[in-house]
Amino acid sequence: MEKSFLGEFEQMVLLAILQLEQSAYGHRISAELEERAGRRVSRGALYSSLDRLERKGYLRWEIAPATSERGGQPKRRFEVTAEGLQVLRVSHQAWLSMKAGLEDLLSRQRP
Amino acid sequence: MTDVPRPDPPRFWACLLRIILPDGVVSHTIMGDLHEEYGDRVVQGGLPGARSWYRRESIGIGARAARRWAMRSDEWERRTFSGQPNVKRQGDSMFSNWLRDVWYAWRSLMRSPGYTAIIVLTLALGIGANAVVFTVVKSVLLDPLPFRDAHELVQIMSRAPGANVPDEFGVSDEFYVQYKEAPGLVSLGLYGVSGGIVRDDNGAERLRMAEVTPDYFETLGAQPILGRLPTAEESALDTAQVVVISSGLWARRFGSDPTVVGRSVEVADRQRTIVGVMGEDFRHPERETAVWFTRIVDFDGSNVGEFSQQLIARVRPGMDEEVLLGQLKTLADRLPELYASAPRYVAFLTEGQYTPVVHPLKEFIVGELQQPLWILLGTVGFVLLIVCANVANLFMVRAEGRRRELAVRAALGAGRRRLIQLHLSEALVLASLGGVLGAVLAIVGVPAMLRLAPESLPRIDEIQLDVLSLTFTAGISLLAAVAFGLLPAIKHSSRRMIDWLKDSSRGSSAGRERQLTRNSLVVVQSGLALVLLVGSGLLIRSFWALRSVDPGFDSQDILTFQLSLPVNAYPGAERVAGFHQQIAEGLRGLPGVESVGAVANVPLSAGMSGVGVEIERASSDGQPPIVYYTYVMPNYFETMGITVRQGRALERADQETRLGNAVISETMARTFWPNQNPIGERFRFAGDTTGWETVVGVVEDVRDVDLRTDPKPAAYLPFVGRNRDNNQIVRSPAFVVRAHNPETLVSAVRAQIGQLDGSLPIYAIQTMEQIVNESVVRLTFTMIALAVSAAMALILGSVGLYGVLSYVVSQRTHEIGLRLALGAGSTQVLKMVVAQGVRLAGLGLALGIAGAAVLTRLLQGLLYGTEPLDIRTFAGMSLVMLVVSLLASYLPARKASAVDPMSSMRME
Repeated sequence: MEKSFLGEFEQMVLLAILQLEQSAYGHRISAELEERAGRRVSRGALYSSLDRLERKGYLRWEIAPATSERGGQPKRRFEVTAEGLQVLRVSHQAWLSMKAGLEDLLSRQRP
Repeated sequence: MTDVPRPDPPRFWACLLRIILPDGVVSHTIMGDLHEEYGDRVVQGGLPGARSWYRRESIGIGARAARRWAMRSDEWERRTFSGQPNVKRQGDSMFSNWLRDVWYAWRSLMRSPGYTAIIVLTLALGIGANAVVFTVVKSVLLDPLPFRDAHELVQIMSRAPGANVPDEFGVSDEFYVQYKEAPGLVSLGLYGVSGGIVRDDNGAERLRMAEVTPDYFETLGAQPILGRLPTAEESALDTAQVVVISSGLWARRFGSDPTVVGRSVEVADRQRTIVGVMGEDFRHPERETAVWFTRIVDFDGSNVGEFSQQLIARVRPGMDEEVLLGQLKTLADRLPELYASAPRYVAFLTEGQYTPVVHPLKEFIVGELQQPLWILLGTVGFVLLIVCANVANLFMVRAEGRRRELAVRAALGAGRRRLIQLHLSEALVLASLGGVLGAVLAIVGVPAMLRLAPESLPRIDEIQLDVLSLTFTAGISLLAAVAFGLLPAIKHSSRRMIDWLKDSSRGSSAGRERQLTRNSLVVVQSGLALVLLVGSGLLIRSFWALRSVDPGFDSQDILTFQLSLPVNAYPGAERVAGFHQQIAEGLRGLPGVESVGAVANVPLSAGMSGVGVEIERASSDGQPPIVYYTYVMPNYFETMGITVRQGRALERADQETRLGNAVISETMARTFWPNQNPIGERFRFAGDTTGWETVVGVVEDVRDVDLRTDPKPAAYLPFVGRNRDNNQIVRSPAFVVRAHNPETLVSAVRAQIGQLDGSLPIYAIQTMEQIVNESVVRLTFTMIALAVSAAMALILGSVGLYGVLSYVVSQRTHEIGLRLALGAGSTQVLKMVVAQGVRLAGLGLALGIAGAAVLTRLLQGLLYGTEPLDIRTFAGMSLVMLVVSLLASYLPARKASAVDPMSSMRME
C-alpha cells in the first residue's frame, strides 16, 4: 500500500508534532526540528510536507485564534492521527529490525 | 516578549506572498507563522538577519506555489478529460486560476515552436516599430521643453500680409521696447544668432553664437551650472566683454576645467571673459549654440525695422492668447507714430498690415516636424493592425486544429468565459513575448532611427527610450493580444463548439462563418497594405520629382567650404579682397581643380537676403518690390555651372571698379523689364543714395531656399565693387571648387589655406551634392520610413493571403480530388484557387483605394509635383498589390492542382 511508506523527513515531522503535544504550530515544528535534529528546514518545504501528510491522512489540524504578534492571522495546530501513529510505528519497527545487530557499528563514535 | 514592539515583516514580500498563496485559511496561517517568527527573529538576531530570512522564505514558498500550479494544470487537464466538470476549486484565487491558464498556454505554445516563433517575430516587428516611432513622437512632440514651466513660453513673430515679405519673420529692437509694457507678459528676451570665431592658444574655431538681452536667461528660467550670468552693467558696456559658454564647448575645448570661469578668450574678434557655463540641456536658440553674449537695448531708433532679431517671452499664467495678442497689437500700433521720421518703415507697417503673431515655444520649435511624425506614427499603427490581423488569422488556423479539444472542453461544461480566457491567455503569452522582443528591437531601433533622421531634427538630443515609451510598448502589446486573441476566442466559444460537435461535416454554417472571418481579415490586411503602398508611392514620386527639379546649378563635383577673416588681422576691404583673391588662385593651382569661385552663401543653405529695391525709369509709388541678393566672386557662375543667358558674368574688372555692375536672374529680368533688354538698366537698394547698380548680365534662375520653392527675383553683386568705399565686404564667404572627386580635395584645401594663414578655421566643408541631399532630408526621412512600413505591410499582407489560401486548399483537398477524378483539368483547379485569392485581394484593393483616397490628403504638405489622388500612383500600387496577391495565390493553387485524386479520396 502506497500510504505505508514514510520518507525520513516525514517521519521527523510527525515525531516533532508528537513531541510538541498541544503546541504543535508551524513555527514551533520547525524550531523543534532544528533543536532536536539539527535540521534547518525551509518553510516552503515544511508546509509542503505538512500538506502531503495531511493528504495521506496522517495529520489533521485545527484553527486556533489569531494573536497580535501574528499580524492578526490565525494559527494551525497540528495533530498526528491514529493512522499517522500507526504508520510511524510500522516505520519504527522496520527501522529496528533493519538495525538489529548493527548497534555497535551505529553507536560507535567517530575518531 | 509580547511587550516589545514587534515590527511588521517587509511589506513588499508580505504582499507578494498574499498574491501568490491561494485564497484560504491555510494561507493565512502560513502568513501568520512567518509574521510571528519574523518578530522573534528581529528580537533575537536583529532586523537585517530577520529581513533576509523573510525574503528567503517568501521566495522559497513562492517557488513551491508556482510549481504546484504547474502540476495542477496537468491535473486539471486530466480531470477535464476524464469526465469531471471543470469547476473552480475551493481555495483557488482568481489570480492563481488565471496564472494556471497562462502556464498551460505557455506549455502548449512551446509544443509548436515554429508557430510560436513566427507569431512572436511578427508581433515584435509591429510592436518594435511602434515603440521606436512613439519614442520619437513622445520626446519631440509630447514632452515639455527642457525649460522651467515651458508651457508659459512663447515666441513672438511678425506678419505683414500686405507686404511682399516671407509669411512670418522676426522682430527688431523697437518691438522689444514696446512689448516690455505688455501686462500679459512676465518677462521678455530678445536674441539674435550668428556665427563667430573663438580663438585662444589652442587654435581657432568657428562656432554658433547668440547675442541676447540679459532678461533672455530669466525668461527661459535658465541658470548656469558653473559661474554666473552676465549682469545688466556688463551688458550695457559698449563692447560686451563677458560671455557664457555651453557645456559642450566647455567639455570639448576646456576639458570641463572648473577654472574656466574668469578666463579670457577671443570671441568674435574681441577679448572676452567667460563668466559662466550653461547646463547640458540648455540648447537655445540653436542646438549648436556654444557662446552667448549679452547686450542691452539702448534704443536710439537708428536701426528700426531690421527685423533680424527674435523675441521670446514668458506669459502670465492663465493669460488668454487672444487678450495677449490684443495687447501686443495695441503696442505695435504705436510704432508708426513713434517713428514717423522713417516714412518707409511706417509705410511697411501700415500698408503691410503689420501684426504680431504668438506661437507656443514648443510649436515654434517642432512645428515643421509635427506632421511627418504623426504620419509616421499612423503608419506604424497600420503595420501593427496588419500584424494583428495576420496573427489573428494564424491563431484561428491553430484554433481550427484544436477544435476537438475545445469542443470536448465545452461539452464537459467549460463555460464561454472559461474558453475565452483560455484563448486570451495564449494571446497574452504571445503578445508578452512579442512585446519583450519588440522592446529589445526598440532599444536597438531608436539609435538606428536617429542616424537616419535629419540632423536638423529639433530636440534630437532629447530623444530616448524611457519608462513611458516602455509602458506604451507594454500597452500596445496588451491591446494587440486582445485584438488578435478575442476574435478567435469568440468564434470558438462554447456554444459554437458544441454546435460543431453536433455537426462536424464540412461546409457547415459554423465552418463557413469562420472562413468568412478569416477572409475578412485578409481583405482588411490587403486594404491597409494598399493604403501604405499608395502613401509611400506618392512620397517616392515627390522625391523623384524634387530630385529632377533643375536647381539652376550643377551640383556634381563641387566642394564648398567657408572661412572667416577676423577684422583685427584683416582690416579694410582691400586687405580682405586681396586675401580672397590669393586663396582662389592658390586653390586653382591644386591638381584636379577646374575652377574656383566664391559666394556669400551657397544656394540651399543660408538663403539670400531680401531687400526692397527701386528701379530707375519706373514709378516708385507704394512698397518697394523685394529682390534677393548675394555677393559673388569672379568665376562663381562658371564654377557652379550657372548658365549666363544674356550679357556677361561678373569679372575681375567688376570687383575693382567702383561702377556697381550687377548680374540678375531671369526672373528678376522678367519681373522688372518684361519683354525688354535688361542689359544696361539700373536699380538700387531702396534708400541707398550712393549709386545705382547697372545690369551687365542675366543668368538662369537658381533655387536658393529649397528645391520646392520657386525662384525669386535675384541679383548678384561683386564682392568688392562699390563696397570698397564703405568697407561692407563679405568676410566669411563660401568658396566653391569644381574638381573631380571633390571629397578627396579636403586635405589639400586645408593645407593650401594653412600656408596662407594657419590661424583661419575652415568650416561648413561639404559637397554641393550633400547640400542638395540635406535640403530634401525631411521628405527623404518620411519617405524611407513609409516605404519600409509599406514593404512590411505588403509582405505581411501576402503572407496572410497565402496562409488563408493554403488552409482553404488543405480543407478542400477531398473536394478538389473529386473534381479532378470527375475530369476537371488541373488548370481549371489552378484557376479556381487563384480566382479565390484574387477575389479577396480585389476586395482589399477596393477598400484600400477608398482608404487611401481619404488618408493621402494628410500627406499634402510633403508632396511635390503630384496630387494626393494621383491616378498613376494609385493604379501602379494597385497593380503591385495585385501581382503580389497573384503570386501568393499561385503557390497554394499549384499545390491544389497537383492533388492526387486517388490518395485524396482515400483520406476520408
